[in-house]
Amino acid sequence: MHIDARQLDNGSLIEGDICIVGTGAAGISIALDWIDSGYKVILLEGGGFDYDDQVQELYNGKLTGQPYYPMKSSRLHYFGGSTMHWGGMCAMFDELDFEKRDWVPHSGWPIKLQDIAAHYPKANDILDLGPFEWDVDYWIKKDPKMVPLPLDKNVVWNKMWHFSPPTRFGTKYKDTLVNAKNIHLYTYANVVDITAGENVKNIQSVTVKNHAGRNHTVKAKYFILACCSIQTARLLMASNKQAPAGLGNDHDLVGRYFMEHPELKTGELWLTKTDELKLYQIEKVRAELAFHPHVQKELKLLNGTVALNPLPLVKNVKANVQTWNEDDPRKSLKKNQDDYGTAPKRNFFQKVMDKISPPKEEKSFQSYELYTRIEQAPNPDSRVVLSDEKDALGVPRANLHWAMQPIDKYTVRKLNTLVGQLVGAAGIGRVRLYDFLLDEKDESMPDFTSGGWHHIGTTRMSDTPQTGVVDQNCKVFGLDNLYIAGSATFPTAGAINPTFTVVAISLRLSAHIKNEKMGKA
Amino acid sequence: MKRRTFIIAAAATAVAITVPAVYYSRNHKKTYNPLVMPEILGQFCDESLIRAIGEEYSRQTGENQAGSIKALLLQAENGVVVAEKDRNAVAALLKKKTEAEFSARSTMIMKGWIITRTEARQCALFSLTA
Repeated sequence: MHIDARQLDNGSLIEGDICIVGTGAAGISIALDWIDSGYKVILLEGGGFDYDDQVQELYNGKLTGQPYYPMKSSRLHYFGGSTMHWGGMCAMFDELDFEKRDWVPHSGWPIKLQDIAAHYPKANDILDLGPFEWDVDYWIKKDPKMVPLPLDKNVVWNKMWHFSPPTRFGTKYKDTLVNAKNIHLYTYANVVDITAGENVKNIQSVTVKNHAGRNHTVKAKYFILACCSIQTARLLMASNKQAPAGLGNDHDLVGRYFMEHPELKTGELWLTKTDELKLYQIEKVRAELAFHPHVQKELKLLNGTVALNPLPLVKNVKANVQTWNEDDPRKSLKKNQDDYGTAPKRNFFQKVMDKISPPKEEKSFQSYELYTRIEQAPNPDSRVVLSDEKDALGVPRANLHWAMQPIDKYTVRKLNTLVGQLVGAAGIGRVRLYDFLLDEKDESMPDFTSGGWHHIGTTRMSDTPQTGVVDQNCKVFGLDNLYIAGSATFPTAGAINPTFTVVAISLRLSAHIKNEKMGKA
Repeated sequence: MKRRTFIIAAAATAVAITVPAVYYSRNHKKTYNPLVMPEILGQFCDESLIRAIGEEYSRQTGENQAGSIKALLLQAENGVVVAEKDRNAVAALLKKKTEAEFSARSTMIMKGWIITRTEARQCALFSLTA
């Protein structure tokens, strides 16, 4: 059922078994998992069912460090969250992403890929990703025109991506959740404070507020924060009446290790013969060049992939960070829709290709742009902090300092050099690197480095409270009934976009609470 | 910009990037000399860029004598020297050396291009003799 929190009597008490804060990919995936479970689920959304600029303004904040998308527009604050503007690109994490790598400081998860692997198929369904087939051989067999580049297989492999339509959670799952008897969805219910019990060992309640001036209290046995990395860190740090540095922040880790996926144009592949490179083009699936673990270890690289886009078609396309730069997300969207069209069932990347895709006979090209995306190395100085300024509901705003390290630039340079060496060894062409990669002493990333709007880290998962904010079950250390869902818990970002894994790991968390906690309770 | 216009403009932009030196060399001099024109790189770089790469290589390495560069290029790994007049054999040798250097990741970056020492020497010889 749905309740508009603006219509409730001021000071209402809302009670349930579990309380999920946030209705993005993580929150809705968990809520769906609890339908008909016999438990009363309180699902809290700060906005309504549509964009509301007054609510969106609550996300505003200041940026420092590496240029980034405006705080106000880099996430969406209404039912469905950022799935309402995501691009739909999905891929699976690699085993290496979970391992401690001695050349990547602060790397290593307390869980393995196999711990979440069982949840990927269901996540695949939720995100409408088509056949659960992630091996390139499956797609090559299905379409013989998808021919891999003849590069050294001991160095490079073809990592498959799937494209969600993209699934807009707020559209697709609204009726299902609103019609579910045990799901109590409250809109215009912004969580502004979290109250712990005595000795700050568990959470008693959260306070919700809206612009109509209504304050309500929500009590539950278990609380799950699923409101994105920036907002989750902000909420924990702002809830400081019982813990001076904020809840879960005894070791000054909340807000730290903010990560993105730095992505940018890095060079050009020139082929001796024109080629469609169909395997690497954006259709329902595509491959990108990925690098084996032993290569990453040998060269001390971060994980990353290199995409191949027809150079004549994308040469003049500006970096996302230069075009999606309006405070108001609607203005950025309109600006880019003007460029790439508005077909509702096509995702942004498909729209780009619709716009620039040549007539059928012109699909073969001699030159391709290398577009590189890497995991950002975990960096404690890349962080979300509280501002002195408060939003309209009285919560300190979040400011973001996005900071990268020399290994990030080194990896981008090295991956592209490797591609150049492999292409040369195969005798199929040559690679030219762009100017910003030529000076090996320059360890900075250029200002046109974009992110994928992927907000990762800030409440990282670890084995101990000295090194992380949540444990392997995503429970906040020291607080018995507070959990965090989503990419906020990722200790490392992986090479690929996080949504698929966000849904999978949220389903794992959901199963843990349902089976290990509620069952025992 | 209309779609078709955009495509043509984009294609023209790409073409403008390079007038292949190798093709120019083959078409206009009739006597294509592999010693001074890297087979694959020359398909993507015009003569001025080949020359610039060669000059940069000579400046960085001090290899600025045509005779010694030629000798290095003509010598196979096993020490056998290929006759300069046998252009097919020279082309085959340089191709083999280039691919081996790429496979060994023994490359350098010149004017942004990831190339091998053999290719850089070919460019240097071009800059010193052509």
